[in-house]
Formats: sequence, C-alpha cells, structure tokens
Amino acid sequence: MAMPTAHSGEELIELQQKLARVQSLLEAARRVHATIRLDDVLAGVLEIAAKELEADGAFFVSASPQWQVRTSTYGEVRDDWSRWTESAEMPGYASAILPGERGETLAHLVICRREPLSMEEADFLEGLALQSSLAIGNAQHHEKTLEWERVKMDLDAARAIQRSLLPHSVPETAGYSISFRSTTCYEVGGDYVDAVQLPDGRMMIVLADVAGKGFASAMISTTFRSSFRAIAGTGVPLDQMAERLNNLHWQEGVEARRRYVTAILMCLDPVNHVAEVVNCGHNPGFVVSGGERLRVGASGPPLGMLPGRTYEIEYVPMPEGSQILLYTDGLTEVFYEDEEFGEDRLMELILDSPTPDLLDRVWQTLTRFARGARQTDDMTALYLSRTAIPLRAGGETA
Amino acid sequence: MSLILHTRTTGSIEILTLAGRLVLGNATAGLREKLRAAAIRPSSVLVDLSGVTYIDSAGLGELVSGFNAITATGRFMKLLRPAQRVDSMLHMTKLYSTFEIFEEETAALGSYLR
Repeated sequence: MAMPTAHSGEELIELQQKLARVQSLLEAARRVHATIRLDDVLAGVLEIAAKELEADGAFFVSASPQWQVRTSTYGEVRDDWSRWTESAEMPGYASAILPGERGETLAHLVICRREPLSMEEADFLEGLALQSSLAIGNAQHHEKTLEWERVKMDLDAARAIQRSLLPHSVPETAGYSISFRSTTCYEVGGDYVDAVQLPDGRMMIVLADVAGKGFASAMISTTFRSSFRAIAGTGVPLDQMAERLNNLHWQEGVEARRRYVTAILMCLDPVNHVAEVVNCGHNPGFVVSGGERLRVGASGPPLGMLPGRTYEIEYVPMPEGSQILLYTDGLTEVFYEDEEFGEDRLMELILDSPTPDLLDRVWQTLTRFARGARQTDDMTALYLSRTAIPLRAGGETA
Repeated sequence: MSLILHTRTTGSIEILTLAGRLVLGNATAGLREKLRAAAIRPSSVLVDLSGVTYIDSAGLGELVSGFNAITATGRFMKLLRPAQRVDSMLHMTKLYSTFEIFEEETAALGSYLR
C-alpha cells in the first residue's frame, strides 16, 4: 500500500491553482461543446478566452483554406487586429493554434492583452484552442448535414415532379398495346418518354435521352417535354417537328447544346396501321414485323447539337403481331466488368410475337447480366405492339 | 483509366491527343478547357481520338461543342483515327458527315493547306 505523500504549503497552493485551472478549462470545454450552432461556438470561445484571461478582446485568424468560418471578434479589439499574423510578433497580442485533423494549422485564436501570459495562462489558451477546434469541426459538420438535408429535400421534390410528368397512363388505342418503364440512376434523370393522343386518333410518341445525367439533364428534359407537347398538339409532320425541336433547343444556348437530346419521334396511325418514325441521333429503334427484324437508325443528328439540320420519316407498316421497342442507351450500355450488354442481346429478347411482359423480362435480364452492379445510367424503354387482343396499357417508373 | 490529354503544335495546327475514357466528369471538363483555350487561339485543331477507349453522350457533347466554337470563328476542327467506340457513336448519331475525319495524320495536316 502506497504511503500518502506529504506536501509543503507552497506545493499545496500550486496544486490547488493547477486544479483550479483544470476545472476552468473543463468548464470552458463544457461551454464550448454545449452548442452545435457554429456562430454560438465561435462567440462562446472568444468570450471565454477574453474573460478567463482578462483580455480586452479576442478574435480568430484563418491560416488555411479549410477554415471557412465567418470573421468573428469579441470585446474590444485594436484597429490593427485584422493585420495580425503569427510571424509579425505584434506586441499586445497572445495566440494559440487551432489544429486540424492531421495536425495542420487551421486558424489562430488571438487575444488582445498587454501583459504577457503566464505559462499556466498560455496552457489554458492552448487547451481552449484545441477544444474550439473540435467544437468548430462538429458545428461545421452539423451545418453541412443540415445543408445536405435541404438539398436532399429539393432532390426528392424534383424526383416527385419528374415522375408526375411521365404519362400516368398511356392513351388506349384499340388493337395496340403500349407499355413503358423508366428508372433513373440518380434522384432525377434525363430520360423522357411520353405519348399524346391527337384528335384524329393518331398517337404521338416520344422517347428521348438528354446527354449526361442527374439534375442538369432532368431540367433539360422538362424543357424538352414542354416543347414536344406544344408542337405535338399541332399535328405537324414528324420531320418538321424534329427540325423545330432541334432549332428550339439550339437557340437555348451553349450549355443546353452541350446537353443535347437524342430522341425517337413516332406517330402511330391505328387505322391504316402505319408507324411513322424519325430517329434524331438516337439508338436504333427495333422493329419486329411480318417475320422481319429491322433497326430504325438516325436520319439526322441529336436535337440541339447543330443548327438547321433536316430529318427524314421512316414508314413502318404495322401488320398484326408487329412490335416496336424503343430504348435509351442505359439499357444497352449495362456492363458486367468489361462486357457490354449491347444491342444484339436486347434485340434477341423480342420474341416473334407480342409478349405482354417484355419490359419485365428486359429489366430482369439486365439485372442478372450486371450481377447486381449499381445502375450507372438512366434506363427507359417503350414497347409498342399490335395485337388482336389488347395486352396491357400503362407504365411504371422507379 | 481516366482521360489523358496531350497537346502539340505543328505549324498553325494544334494537335490534341486524347487517350482513355471520354466520359462525364473530369474527362469532359478537361477536354472542355483544352478546346476552349484552342478556340481563342488563331490555330485550327486536329483531335486524335485513336486512344479513346470509351465515349459517352457527354463526351460527344464536348467534342461537338468545341467543333461549334472553333468553326464559328472560321477555323477548322477535324478528327483523326477515331477508335472503334467513337466511330460507332459518330455513325449512330449521324454525326460522321459533320466532321472531316482522317486515318493518317499527314493527310489530315495536308488538308488544312487546301
């Protein structure tokens, strides 16, 4: 058992002073960590520093680009406070370093005091600066979390709006079935699919893909939707529609041109059983008709990329049993390691006769092919078939 | 592999060589910077695409954007040896005829003198 140590009167006083300093530092740390609001942390630290060390005022000086807090002072600071630097050794100031996570100097906590600090006071200032650094880091993290929550709410709202802009149901056309599916790789995407019934019974269909992905592409796809819907209602021929969409998008400016749109425009005539198709720089549309398999390639460049371009209509007869599959490159460019799913595999999924669950099968096949790898692009497809017995109308998004 | 961009000048022609994946992100940003810088210089541009292993829609958008900026000032931007992936994309999007495309650098450089 250890024997108790005898202390002299001076040693006892010194121990009591040390204890008092530790207690005041602990109290300071408690106050510094009592709030998560950055402004309160900054103000609290400066107040504690000035009051505990009997200084006229206190302030922070940034020493790193990572220190992104607002300028803050407390109490009475001299006119030349903003010129304070560690190397200038200006009299009447004392300072301590706020260290970063890797020991780098983030900032300096500076107090305005004429008398030099004692060793114990310097220790206190150093301890306070260390606690401040931790508290400020936590407060900044909290601010970023709040900001991210706000951004996430915005993205969720944008996603809801974008989903609401997809057709809730596809107009029914006797003897034909149309289904679609669309999944985005981020909260919102740049793919767009739509079907609008004209007063004469024809159906205007579009499947489009804005270059890039994410929020910027989603904004462009919404603009494109407005243009498409405005022109589609006029019944203008598809080639002229493509030309107008191209020029409208081009006129939106340089940033929009960089976010050009590849699209397939289609007009289904369910009376004469013909589908008019214009491919604007998009992946070829697949047609299975009368035992033949065709690909409808582009007749002109993507929309909005180059001004004044022209496009041509391709006429696709739609005898009973005909099928058309339109898709965005997110489907064909699914990868497993270095192997791409590709157009040929997608074409092979289309059977010789209409298949009600084709899109389900396509998505299941792509999921199996990717072996669970994360989706890296927006994926949208539209399937049109002519059948004596209507298959299913509708679509879904995720 | 990310995109590596290398620039050299032959006479009044700036040859921009790309190698790697030309996709949305740092690669397209790097190409944009190079083509933007080229667009304010008096030289014409030849873009060597033989080393591009993959290109996405954003990469194609940067190429055409640069083409528009350079040709708007009366100069030329031509392409050299597009790798298979780029070649397929240019065909699919019907952009092949928009660009002058060469298989040999000598022929490409000679074309600027015509």
